[in-house]
Amino acid sequence: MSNSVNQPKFNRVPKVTFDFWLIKLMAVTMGETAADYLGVNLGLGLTKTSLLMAGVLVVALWFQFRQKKYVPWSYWLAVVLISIVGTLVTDNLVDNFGVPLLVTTVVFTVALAATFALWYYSEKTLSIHSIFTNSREAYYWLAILFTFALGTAAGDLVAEQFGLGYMATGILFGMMICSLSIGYFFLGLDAILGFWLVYILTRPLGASFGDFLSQPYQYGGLALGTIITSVLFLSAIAAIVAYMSITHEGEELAS
Amino acid sequence: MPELFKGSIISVQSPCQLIVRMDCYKARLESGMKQFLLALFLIAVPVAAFTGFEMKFGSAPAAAAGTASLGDLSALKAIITDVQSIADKGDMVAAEKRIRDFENDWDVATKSLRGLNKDYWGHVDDAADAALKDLRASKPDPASVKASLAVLMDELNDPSKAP
Repeated sequence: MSNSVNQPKFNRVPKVTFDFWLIKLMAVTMGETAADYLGVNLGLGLTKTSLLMAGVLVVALWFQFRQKKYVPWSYWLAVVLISIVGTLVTDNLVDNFGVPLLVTTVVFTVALAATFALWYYSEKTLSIHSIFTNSREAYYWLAILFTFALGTAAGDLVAEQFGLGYMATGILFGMMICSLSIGYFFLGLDAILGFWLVYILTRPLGASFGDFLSQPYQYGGLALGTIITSVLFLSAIAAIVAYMSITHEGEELAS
Repeated sequence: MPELFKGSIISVQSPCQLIVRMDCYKARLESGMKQFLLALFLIAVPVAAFTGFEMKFGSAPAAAAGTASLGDLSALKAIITDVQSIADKGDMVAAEKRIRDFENDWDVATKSLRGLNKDYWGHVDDAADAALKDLRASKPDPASVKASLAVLMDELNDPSKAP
């Protein structure tokens, strides 16, 4: 297909809109509660559950790479699964392999920095508006994976090490996100830097929110349980994805 | 001919371009540093405000010192008391069935309890695992079931000591 060169190239990932952040936040909330549910109730143990869900994620990413443009269902399916797998992997490293949260936080920070360095070195840009080749898309998803793992580790570190509980943890990360938003809108914070920082920080914010909804009254939660919380958020995500598919919101040509 | 012409222009221009490029890199590095410091500042301000507030009004210090208790565990203890009396009668199948309620409640509360005190949670969790293992043996041994349930009860009464 030599004429494909002349066709307009689509950006394979969505524009960053209000709905983008809304659905991202719901995806991480759901990722946290769904990972808890699967880890406890599937009865396979954390390691087998992690491997199983990683397998499902690989299939979802295969679909996503085949689209060659932004298609809401496949993109957000991959994000939801990365959220679940990222949580399971971090839990597994901490619970089963006894790796301290401080170590996982540092390791994932270095891995994320290395991903950005390689991405910039090979593509000369970190723009999320020009993801139109397989290699750029691979860097994009690798960065997403590490932001989820880092967000999980950093959030758990703050909550457990400093004994903050999910309410206080949620407030803390919410304040950081507000501060970075002010920086982006009023103080000239770089769009790409701001995007990735907020992308990391929404992970612990959403996770705290998920724990708050699902945990028992006795511990300050709303006692919805992991199933109801997960199903509630999955339905809301599905509704917004359907809306996005109809309105074509978030689609753009690669710049 | 055009190639040669083009080449000569490049060779004339290149030193100049090099200087421009150095300036360009320098400017980029400077703006990168500025951006990094701005981001650091934007994160540090809410963290400082939050820490100040927590230190003044919050309950974080007790938890950080590692002596925060796991709170009220009476509901869990009541189940284990039940399991003990059933096991004492020798009905290990019923005892195993009843301890599943404990297992479920314990799993559901894991996140909260671990947030309260990770070490204490670990002590009780180890004792619970041992009791479950004994009750789920292909032929549960009454003596070891009794012993591991007693250890679990001790842990629930005082999670600070290792089982």
